[in-house]
Amino acid sequence: MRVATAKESYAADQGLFKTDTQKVWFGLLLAALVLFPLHGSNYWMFLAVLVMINIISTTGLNILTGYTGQVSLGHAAFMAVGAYTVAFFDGRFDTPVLLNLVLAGAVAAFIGYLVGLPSLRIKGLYLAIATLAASVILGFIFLNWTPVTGGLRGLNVPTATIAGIELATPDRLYWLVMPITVIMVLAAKNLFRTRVGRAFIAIRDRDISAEIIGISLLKYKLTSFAISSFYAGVAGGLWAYLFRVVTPESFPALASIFFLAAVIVGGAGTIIGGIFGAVFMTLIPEFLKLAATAVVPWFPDAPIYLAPVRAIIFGLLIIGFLIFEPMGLAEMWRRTRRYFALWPFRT
Amino acid sequence: MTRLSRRAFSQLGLGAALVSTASGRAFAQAPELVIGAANPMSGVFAFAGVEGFEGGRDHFEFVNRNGGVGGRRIRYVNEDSGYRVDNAVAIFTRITSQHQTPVFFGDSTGFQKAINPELNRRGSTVMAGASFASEIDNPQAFPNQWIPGPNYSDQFRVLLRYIASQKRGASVVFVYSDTEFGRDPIAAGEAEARRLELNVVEKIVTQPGSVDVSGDVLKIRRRNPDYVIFHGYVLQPIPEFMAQARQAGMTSRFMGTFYSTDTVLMNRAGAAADGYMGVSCYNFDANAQGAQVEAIRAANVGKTRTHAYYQGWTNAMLAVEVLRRTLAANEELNAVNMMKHARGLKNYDTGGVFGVPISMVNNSFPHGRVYQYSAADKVLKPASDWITISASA
Repeated sequence: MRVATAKESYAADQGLFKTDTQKVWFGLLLAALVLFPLHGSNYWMFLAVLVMINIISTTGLNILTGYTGQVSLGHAAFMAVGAYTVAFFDGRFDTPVLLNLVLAGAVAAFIGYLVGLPSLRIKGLYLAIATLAASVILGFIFLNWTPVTGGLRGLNVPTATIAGIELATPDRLYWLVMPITVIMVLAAKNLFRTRVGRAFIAIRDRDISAEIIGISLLKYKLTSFAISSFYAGVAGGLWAYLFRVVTPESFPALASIFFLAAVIVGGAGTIIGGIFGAVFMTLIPEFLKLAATAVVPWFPDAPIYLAPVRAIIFGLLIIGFLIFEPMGLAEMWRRTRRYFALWPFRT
Repeated sequence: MTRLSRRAFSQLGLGAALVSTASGRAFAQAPELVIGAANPMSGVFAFAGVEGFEGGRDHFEFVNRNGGVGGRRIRYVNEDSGYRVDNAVAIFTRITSQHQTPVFFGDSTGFQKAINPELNRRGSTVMAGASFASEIDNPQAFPNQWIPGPNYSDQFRVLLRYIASQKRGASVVFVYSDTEFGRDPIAAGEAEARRLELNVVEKIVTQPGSVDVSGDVLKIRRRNPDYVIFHGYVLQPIPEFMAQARQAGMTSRFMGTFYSTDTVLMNRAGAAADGYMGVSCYNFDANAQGAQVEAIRAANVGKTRTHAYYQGWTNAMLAVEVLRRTLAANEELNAVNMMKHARGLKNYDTGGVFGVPISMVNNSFPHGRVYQYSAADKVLKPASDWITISASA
């Protein structure tokens, strides 16, 4: 049983890491992230990069949906804005990678700010449809603003290059994506130790009460939209560097559902939940695919028959989570931690 | 009990050594040639992905039964992409990181465009796939890919040349889906129509899965064109267009490109599809002769295969031929060498899969034929001769 976690100040109680154990685990996680490329094949590096991009995007949506209570079905469109921004600036002006990513986040944040305006009047399903409509409008722009977006053909994205080193392969791109992911996730965690983050939570819990105690709904709802879209924009920019082509079909509305599902499955309103959700939603289909591939030597037609089975299993897993653990993977993680923290006593 | 003398023991040992050496030689095989594929086995394009996969698989089995390529067996590694670009890229990355993969089959234009820079960077893998996009038919931008037939623009040109041969100055309406796939050949089609002095009197854009087409049918009716060409659809909403047009008493002829020209799909549409004309590069003649079509028939007794199956078979056949030529020239299996031999395919006999000997022009094989569907016989019958589009077009 863990003892001596009592805090003597508010600052200590609000610390990013509340116990030494957490600090040790975080150090080990960082070490694992640094050492992972030594052992990961090209494929695993690709998956790692994809997972991290999805973690950034899911964390962004989690800030908006999980922490501020605003539903958005336009998240993938904000990613697309980021991807197009990177493709445009890098392709047209050969601007530095990090500047492109900041611009991707900034442009997406601005668009997100505008899209968030209806959130002052509407919420819930109505807001979801409004954000979906915004994504349709953005899709139309991607398709028809040909001088900037390349229209139907889209834009090819140059290889990310930092200090003359081409990040052409996932194992190299990892060194760009991994630190950005760690910084952005920590920044999100930190956000909820600030006045702004607490305002978001207050709005989520009861917006009328929040307004009564002096929280400006206008300011904070739009800030939440902007921050969430900034995350999506950066994720979209990294996505563009990974796939190196952006077309109007790269970010369908279904991708927004993917991120919403990741937030719910992982656990809305917790940073670790966004991480778990993104990892789950990205890797489970991949593992199911590996399982299907493994039986091919004995069952050559497996790809035909197992493909729909895979989709069904994935769907059932999501439904299972919603039924048996509506608080998501984060709650399971919390229970596990509590078990070890309180052992030998029952939780 | 018979005692084993030292000499007998030595003889047995020698014999065993000889047998083991001989059997060792017999079992020593050249390494397999791995061909990777990302096919959509689930999702909206699963119907085509499964057929495409089976076409490739059946051809490779046929090749392996007949001794492989230069004595090396083909191993076909396929995974379900779900028709998603990121999935297909993941599959490409995984398969190529696990195996040396000289040839890879892609599932879509989006994926083939997305992976192109990586393909060029690696220089070790060539790609073919499900896409007939005109953009990919460009050796400068896509030096390591080929299209297993005519690109969409050339398919349009085949249809328009057929129309010009039937009626001078005919009026034509283009109906296409509001997708990258749908818009691909429209500009080239308009240019070709002008050259042939045909009148494109209307262009109608619809959603790809559109079902309520009454307004669009009204537009066509107002124009009352000689021909209506559909593009960018798999099947829907073509039968609905045709049924409503017939009810309205229109006499226009309806036509379509590759993915909407298929016996299986037409059979599903039934009587509404009667008289529909479409372009294909593959030979649907039941009496076609040749080693490849006979192998297709042998592998599919009692089955009717879709276009996608033929496409999968053709991609596999071309891949095998390219590998065979590269290995026969004793050259390394890299993209430069393989594409050199792919571009060397001139007047290549496809064993009946195409009705004419084929030649690669740019990255494609610009040969096509117009077929007409007969609902009574449930078959596509040739309506034109084979038409080849020259590079200058």
